[in-house]
Amino acid sequence: MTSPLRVRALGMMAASVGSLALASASGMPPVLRVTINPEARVSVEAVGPVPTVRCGGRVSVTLEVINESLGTQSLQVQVLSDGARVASPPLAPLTGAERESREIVLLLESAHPVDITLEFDAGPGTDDLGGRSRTHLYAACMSGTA
Amino acid sequence: MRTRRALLSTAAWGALGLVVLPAVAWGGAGAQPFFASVRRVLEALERAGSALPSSVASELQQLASRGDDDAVARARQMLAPFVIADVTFNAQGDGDVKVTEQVLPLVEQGWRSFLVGVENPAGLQHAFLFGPTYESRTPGQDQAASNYQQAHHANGDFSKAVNIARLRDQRAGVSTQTVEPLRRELAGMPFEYRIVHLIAYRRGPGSIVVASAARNFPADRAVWNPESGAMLNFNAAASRDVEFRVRDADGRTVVASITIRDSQRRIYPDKQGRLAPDMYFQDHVYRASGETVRLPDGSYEIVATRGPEYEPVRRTVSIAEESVAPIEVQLKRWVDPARHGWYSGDVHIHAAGCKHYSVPSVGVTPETIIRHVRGEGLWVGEVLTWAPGFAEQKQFFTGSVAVTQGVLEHHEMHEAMESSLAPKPSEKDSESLLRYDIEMSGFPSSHSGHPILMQLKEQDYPGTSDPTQWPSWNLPVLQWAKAQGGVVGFGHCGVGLEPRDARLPSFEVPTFRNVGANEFLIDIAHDAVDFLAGGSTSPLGELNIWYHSLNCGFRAAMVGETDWPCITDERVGGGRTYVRLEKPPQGDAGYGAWVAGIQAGRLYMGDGRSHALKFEVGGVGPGSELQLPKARTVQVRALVAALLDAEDTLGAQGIRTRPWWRQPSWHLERARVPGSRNVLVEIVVNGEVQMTRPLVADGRPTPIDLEMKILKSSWVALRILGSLHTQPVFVLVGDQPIRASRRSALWCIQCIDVLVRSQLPRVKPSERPAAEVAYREARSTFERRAAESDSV
Repeated sequence: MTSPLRVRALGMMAASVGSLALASASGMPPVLRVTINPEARVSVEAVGPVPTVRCGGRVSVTLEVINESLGTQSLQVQVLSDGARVASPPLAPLTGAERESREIVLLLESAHPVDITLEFDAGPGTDDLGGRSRTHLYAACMSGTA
Repeated sequence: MRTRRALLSTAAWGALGLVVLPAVAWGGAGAQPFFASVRRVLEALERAGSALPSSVASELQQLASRGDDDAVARARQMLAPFVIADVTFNAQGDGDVKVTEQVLPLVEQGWRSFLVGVENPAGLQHAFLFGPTYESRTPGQDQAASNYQQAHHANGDFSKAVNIARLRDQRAGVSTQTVEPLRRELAGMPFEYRIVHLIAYRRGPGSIVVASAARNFPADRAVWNPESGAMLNFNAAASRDVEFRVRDADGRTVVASITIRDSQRRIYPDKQGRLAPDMYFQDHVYRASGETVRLPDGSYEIVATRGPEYEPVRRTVSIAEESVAPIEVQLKRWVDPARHGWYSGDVHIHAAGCKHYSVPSVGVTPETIIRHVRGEGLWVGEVLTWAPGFAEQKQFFTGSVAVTQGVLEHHEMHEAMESSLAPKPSEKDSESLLRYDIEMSGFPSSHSGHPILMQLKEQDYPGTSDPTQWPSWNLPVLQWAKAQGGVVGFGHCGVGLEPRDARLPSFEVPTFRNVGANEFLIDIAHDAVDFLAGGSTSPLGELNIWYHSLNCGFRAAMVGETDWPCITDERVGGGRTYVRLEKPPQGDAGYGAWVAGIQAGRLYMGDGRSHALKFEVGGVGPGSELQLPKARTVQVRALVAALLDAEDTLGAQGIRTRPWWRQPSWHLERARVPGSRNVLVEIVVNGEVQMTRPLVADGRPTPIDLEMKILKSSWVALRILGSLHTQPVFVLVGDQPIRASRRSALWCIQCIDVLVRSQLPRVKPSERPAAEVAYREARSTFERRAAESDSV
């Protein structure tokens, strides 16, 4: 078993090398890094640009998951803002591995660029303090070609 | 000096020849990103302690709901007075800065927060930089600046991170320290607001040249062109150290929690520049009598308190140059459990990690933590070293009560800031103690829960040099800790165990996938666990597994914890354990008596807003056994006190109606009978509520005297759900052990079967045979208890 402290070190290393660290099964570089700390608090940060898509279209967002809690809970994501919704099925439960990749698909419901606020958790009450479990993405979509 | 240009309309972008995405103009549905940005800025300013006037915030909210062109224009007009510069980035991320003509009102040795309007037609999603250009910067200097901010915000090793002399030479400073929910990077939208913070190191007028850039770290090393700077003029109001004189209700000097706001609701000391012992994530600070806070002239509202056993004291004071008299604070208690023999403690405090994130491997020292423990009126503070800061924090473990030196960490920085803050002894300092021990969080066994190991003599598991070498399941560690006299249990026991049916007791079987007391049922069957720690998350998840174990005849205690600053950063002592002692817990002997009281179950726990000053069944108290030769009626006598505001406000309803898992999970408001000042006191027998009595939560201790028929061996406890729970009295009828519920025993067996599938495979192969034996034995124990139970 890889040590939790090494997990921490890997997480910090990943932070230092930015989006080069992990690509999803689809080959897309991560847009967001979700960290579940040893106390199972979930935080999220942007690590890559959001691709520009057509307004009203779908945008795939690759997640790099750093799981320091060693838990096998399911990661949950909610869209807190208007103009977009999650269009992908619930994320598969984590395996307990130190780093995993997940992908969510967001459906842009507006014919205009939209600012999307996402919130992550790993079970009720596991959102990190200070709003760190939330992030925002600006979907600078191209209008009129949905 | 350049001046801030007129507000740009969408059309103006084209006129400037900027690269504009083929997106719609602002206004209409396209205004959504703009107002999303505005909302974030408002929230970030609130968190920074620099909220905009509420009238501005509420009008912006109304404009957001309109979301048309006029709404955007009006919102920008409203925010213009708070904007000190507009920056336009070209596609390379070079910023053209146009600054306001106003003279900025800064504060000597204090940070102020302002807005910057950012035009970003290229849609860059790079880090936003805004700072002084008084010297040519290099990447190394930027790292120094970053460390400077880390030290400010995480209380890191400041002496290594900052050139104090340089700080003294500067006239003013600028910080772009990110405040959530903003992030370091630009969002990529055509226009957004950012927050910058400015400090003046000297009083009086001055100026600073600032520049801005958007850079894609770490690829872009250069920061900005010094030639692009624009000059900001400011006038810094004088500030001075103001002394607080704080006395407890008994007249003795003491440490208290003090929250200071000016007439614009701004927080002091400013949250951006705080150094330990003051925390950037808290509104309040802790001050002993005779200690100081630096304040500019003005009018302030001061709220002083010392934990939930006190009523907040409010004062309005004016600070003027000619009047710097000490501020007198007389605290007011509404309840004193120690006078009834109950001594408070928090078994779960962290000095590193979580909200100490910026330098997670360092954290803060005992000198800082003891101040927080004293300021919340706690007798015992259990500081738990865990993964992120284990290597650094383990130096404070002594196997004894911690000794503090009365020297602030980062004292050189305090001196550089010309602060006179220095620890002053108080007459009640000896009424709080610290003990350093371990929470096994971030350890190889953490998939099976997070044991809290208290009263350790040794902190290194045999044959290991760091936690990565510790066992991959908990039982061996718990047995090792208990063998050396430790008192052990599971932290945040209910995480992942909350029943979805919201019943108590519930017979839903959890998945045990999170960081709750996953291995508890295995370990309790081996007599290797003394307590579950709750009071920090949903009471349903915490109490359910405890109730089932009690129904099977086990007697682990439920203690109160906070898990500060991980589950909450509000204050230590949010979850509390009150242990019955003959005399105050002082020194190693007192601490030993306190944890022995946990082992013996002589306790109640909760949020400190309600108290069971007495709870007896048949004349014996919590944790004790009452022997009855046969079924009979017994007296239940209690003395209970609780304090709620007289009125059932919207705020109170907001707490009461939110899901149990949403913080604050434990709060007396959860128990308020709607529209009244009453709460329900419940007598729980074998997990079921047998009797209830209304209690007026006006702070007065109220006797409760009941008769209850005990038909079989049972456990009896008192609770106010979500605020207070006593350890049970164990009533044995005819000398029979408690086997209260066959269904509970079967639930435990089902849980173990889940654990066999989910946890056992995660034990290292070399340790798995022993774990398999332990799991089998635990299952057999519960099978026997099920067979011995004569009820459903």
